[in-house]
Amino acid sequence: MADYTTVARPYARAVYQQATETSSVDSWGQALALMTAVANDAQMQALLDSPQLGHEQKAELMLKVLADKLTPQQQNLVKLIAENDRLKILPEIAEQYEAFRAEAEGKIDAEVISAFPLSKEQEATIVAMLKEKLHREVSISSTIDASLIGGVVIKAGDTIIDGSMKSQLKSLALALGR
Amino acid sequence: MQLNPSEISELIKSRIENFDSAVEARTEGTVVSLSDGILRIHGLADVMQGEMIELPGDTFAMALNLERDSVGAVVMGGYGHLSEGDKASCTGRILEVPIGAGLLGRVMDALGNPIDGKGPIDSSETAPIEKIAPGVIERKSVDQPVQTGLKAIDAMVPVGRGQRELIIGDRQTGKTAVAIDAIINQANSGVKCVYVAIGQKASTVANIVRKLEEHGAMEHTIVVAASAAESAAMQYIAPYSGCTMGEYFRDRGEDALIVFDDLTKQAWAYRQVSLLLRRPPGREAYPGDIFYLHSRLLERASRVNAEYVEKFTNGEVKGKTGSLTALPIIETQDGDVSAFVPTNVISITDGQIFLESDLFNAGIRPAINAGLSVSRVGGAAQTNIIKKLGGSVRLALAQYRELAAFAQFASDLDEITRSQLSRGERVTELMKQGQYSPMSVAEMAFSLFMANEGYLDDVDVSKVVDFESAMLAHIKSNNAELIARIDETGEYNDEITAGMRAALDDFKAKGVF
Repeated sequence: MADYTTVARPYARAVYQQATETSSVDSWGQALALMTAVANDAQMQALLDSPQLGHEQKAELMLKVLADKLTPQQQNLVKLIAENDRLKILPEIAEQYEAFRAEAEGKIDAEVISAFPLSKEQEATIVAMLKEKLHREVSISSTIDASLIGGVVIKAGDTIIDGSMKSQLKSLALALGR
Repeated sequence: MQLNPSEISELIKSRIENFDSAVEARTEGTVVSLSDGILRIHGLADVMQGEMIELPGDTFAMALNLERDSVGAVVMGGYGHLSEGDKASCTGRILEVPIGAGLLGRVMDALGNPIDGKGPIDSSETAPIEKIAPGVIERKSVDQPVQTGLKAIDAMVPVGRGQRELIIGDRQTGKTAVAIDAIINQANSGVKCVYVAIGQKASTVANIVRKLEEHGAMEHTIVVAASAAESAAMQYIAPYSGCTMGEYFRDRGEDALIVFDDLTKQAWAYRQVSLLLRRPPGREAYPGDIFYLHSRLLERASRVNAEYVEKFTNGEVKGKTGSLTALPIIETQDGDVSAFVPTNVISITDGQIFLESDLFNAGIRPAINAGLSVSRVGGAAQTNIIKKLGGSVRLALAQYRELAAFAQFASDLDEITRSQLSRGERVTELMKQGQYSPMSVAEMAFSLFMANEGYLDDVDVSKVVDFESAMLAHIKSNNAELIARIDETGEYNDEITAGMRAALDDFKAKGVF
């Protein structure tokens, strides 16, 4: 996946600019999600990977499935991507599009991993602190991982805030072993 | 099961009490690919050039290529346990090694971990391996000698404290031997030594360490070894690690000597890393920054003034200058000094000691080619007496070389030519010196004086070496006072000349050889 980042970026940026200019950010977002879903379908993937089909045929195939749900511009995007033989990177484009959108809207998704379920108040405290630290609107999703023993690990994009018992014990072990 | 000294309950308790458990925010990435010790990591948006990246299993990597969507890094050490998809996180630290006087007498790898089985290293400080060399204002010119204890070098290509003197030659010409002799001779000079072995056989390194121990030189020496079996990344960083350890002494108003054995292999290691990182290859497939690789390293060898030392130590050390002298070694292929790396390093350094296999095979050891070896700044640092006496030795050898080729064809030679030839033959013979037998300034002065004043002219060429050792033994037992005086002051005046002449006349009259 990571290998496609560089290739996907110009597409995502162009789409996002187009979307903001025509104030159709939501519609484009849905369209990209839809395209990703179709491109990720196993049967579809087999066809898209097939060397027997030309890029026009692949674009036609995609559009046949999606036709009535896409605006003419969105259909053009599918054709363009097919023409450049980049249908494989559609998921990455969608992901980066969402990243651009989150960036512009000042939002960020954070994953909070804890050893025990968090109470509503605890979640609110974490959100407030993250908001102050990252200067963004934060929406969090929580997961439980008992192996942390205690504390929380917060992942927001590349940034990791590791306040778990597990990692503290690990660094203590390292410091003592030195 | 045995307990380590660090496992005493009290110690453990205090360490647990002082354990800093601050929660830090750091950035994390994912290993996308791993090939030949080169990692490509996705993520790590805040990584710095040269930063240490932490990997699973207590392994570290160094970030070398910062690209738009990925980071290229080299793994330090083994990478068998790593795999695609592993998490990699920033540490916020540039690669650091331990420094301090506690490192003396130890053998370490390029990361500063002890490999001599003598327990943990006694050092509380660390310093980054890449540092900027002192600037123009902070420097002082070279004016004190580093005595290598080798006649041929101290007389003809003197090395000053803070100088960079290249030792260059083919394989098996005694490059390492020259450097090791120089280290052994620092036993009483107060100069601390760092020996960096790069890409050598582990057995060779073990031999060198044993030799240094035998001659009592390990007490003032740090050995940094990145043997041929270690990864290219370790071989690439080893000289920088060693340099940082040497700089500790320089910055605290002491003198240090560092030997890089050898930079050719480091250039190979760096070439390997660069090619694997897909940096564009240039001449001889070296990357574009191969010159900077060596220039930034050798620039750190310098003499710094007292103000710099005072500022660095916050006024603790006053009125003392510091120096780091570098003896880089370059191995040439078939005497080709015009290859890429040798020419680069020759142009960076302040002179070179050129060793030749022909001379070596002819039994002239150290096999120094007196014509091609130069020292651009060492003259200012030479001891007075050696400077005065060494000048004519150099001249005698130069004249001899010129005549020797010519004289092979001429049968009828005039008196002056013949005397120059015989003087040259004897001086060449006199410049021979055994390994691990460094000479003091006074011993050297007597040998040179003897050649200059014609005491050798009636000695058979094959007897010169014996004559010299007999003379030195005689003088040491009969003229100890004069020797001590020369060693101490290093001055040269009529009184000393008269003393030396009397001593030599005495030996010629009574001595046996």
